[in-house]
Amino acid sequence: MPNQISDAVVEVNNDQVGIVPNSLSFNEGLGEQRILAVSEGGGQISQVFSNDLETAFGMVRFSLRSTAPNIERVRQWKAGGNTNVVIIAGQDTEGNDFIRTYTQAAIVSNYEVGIGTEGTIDVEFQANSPT
Amino acid sequence: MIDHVRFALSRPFEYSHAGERTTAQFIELNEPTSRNLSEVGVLRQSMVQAIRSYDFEAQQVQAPAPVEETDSKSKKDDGISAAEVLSILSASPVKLEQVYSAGKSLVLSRGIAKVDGQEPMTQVLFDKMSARDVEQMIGTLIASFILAS
Repeated sequence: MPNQISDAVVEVNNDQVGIVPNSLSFNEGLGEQRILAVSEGGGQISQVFSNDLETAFGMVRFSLRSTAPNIERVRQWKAGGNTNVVIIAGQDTEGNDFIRTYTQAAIVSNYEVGIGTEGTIDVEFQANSPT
Repeated sequence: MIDHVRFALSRPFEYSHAGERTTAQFIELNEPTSRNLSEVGVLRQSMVQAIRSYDFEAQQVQAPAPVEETDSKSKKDDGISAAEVLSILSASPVKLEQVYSAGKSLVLSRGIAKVDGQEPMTQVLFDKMSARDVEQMIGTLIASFILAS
């Protein structure tokens, strides 16, 4: 029986990044779909299936410790606009794995840097749907 | 004297550049600076040791006829290739492990190696290179910048 994946490698722009445990999440960039009703009279309805392409972007979110190198690193990612590439890869104890590559990734939010004993930088990339 | 050389990869690998994935074709190697003195020192000393032991063994093989000048000396004047560097090192008692370690450290130093001349070499990218390419790249570094200086 497969095990829960609780650890993954995060690589940004050819560099491996150490993240805060349990802070990584991502989406598949498949977007949202809707089912729209069509009235056909006599109480009959049928459906029209619709893809919301506006939501078909990928997202990767994780947190970093607020070290000086990490503060500088995130600043570089932000300054790079959408010229970042994020790769995440995970594997369970039985060798089952996954890998996702997000191209043209950008930090679109005005991120905050937490300063303190347990200060973190919460990073969220928006990108093309992963491959 | 040249300040950089281009090392063609026999096994291209993927890397990230300008927001996209692309395939590396070559590594641009730049001349080490004073920041890299410790690695340069290890490589130079290893090569001198290897060349000396290479000469010594050559003399033993050809004994008892006296040997005037060794081939390695004349080749050195003409320039030595990466393949020759690796051959000499492999045939000597010098530990290849220390050569590879210093070579790797040098390649990962800021400004020394750039993938396709545009992305700095990182640990992630280094790990993607084939062992053969890494050996040849370190040999190229030694032949171009350590022995040539």
